Amino acid sequence: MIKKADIFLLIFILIIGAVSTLLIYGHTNDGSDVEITVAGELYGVYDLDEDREIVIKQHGHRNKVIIKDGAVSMDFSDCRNQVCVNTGRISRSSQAITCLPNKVMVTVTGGDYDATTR
Amino acid sequence: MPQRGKELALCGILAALAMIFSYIEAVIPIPVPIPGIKLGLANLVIVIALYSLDLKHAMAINVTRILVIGIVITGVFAMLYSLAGGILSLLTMGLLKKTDKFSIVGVSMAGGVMHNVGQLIVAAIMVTDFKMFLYLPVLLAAGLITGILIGIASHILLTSLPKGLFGGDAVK
Repeated sequence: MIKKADIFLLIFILIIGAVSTLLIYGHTNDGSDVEITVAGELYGVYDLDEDREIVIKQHGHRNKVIIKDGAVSMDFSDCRNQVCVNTGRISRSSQAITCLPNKVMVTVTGGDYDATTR
Repeated sequence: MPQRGKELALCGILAALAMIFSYIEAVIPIPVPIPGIKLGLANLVIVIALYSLDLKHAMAINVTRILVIGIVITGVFAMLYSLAGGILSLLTMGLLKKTDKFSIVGVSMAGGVMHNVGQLIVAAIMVTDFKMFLYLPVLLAAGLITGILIGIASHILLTSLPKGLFGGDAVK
């Protein structure tokens, strides 16, 4: 049932996965800032160490972002799928929470992000 | 029954079946640890259609399913993602199947991966932010696993269903 080419394909996909994982997460550290974009445009930059709530209202959509104890999470979203809310808390540099229906993106930036390895 | 009529009826039945699977998944979410990921039961029907009919018919079934489910249940935005994922996935599967070097599990595996890649590309364009590709590793792994599961299920189904069911000669 399984052919040799299947195994090669599996290994190929696993390698792509491993390489992209390394490229993306390999040299990240705890971030220092939270960047929020709406439809690709910068909405605001916030300090990750400062506890606060940010309510994003746009085009009749509402999202609530909470920064607490050095981690950021999407507390509320009026979107249907709730993927963003279920993503949970993030704190490492270049991690992100995305709410596709409302086009809201929350990214952790800064920290000791190692630019030399890029 | 003439061949064309039979094919048409089969396409209709399979499209209906795929829609039911999509509906079931939309209504009863199967709990998976990572948000936004599902098994894609409807793809089982699409893989079966690809192997028992052909790429053209499978594509017709798939596009019909996505359009109807998109309008009735998931909404236009989700439909765009599904459309990109579904078409890219099925084209890849059709191509791999044509080479005759891969088993149904390998073909389905590639389909699962490309399904998620297609959705990711549309997501990146819609949000106009290529940071979306941060999700690539997770989506690759998810597509891989669901693709393999669907492939194994398709293999079991195709070998145990009666041979004349899809018009005879096509089923191997």
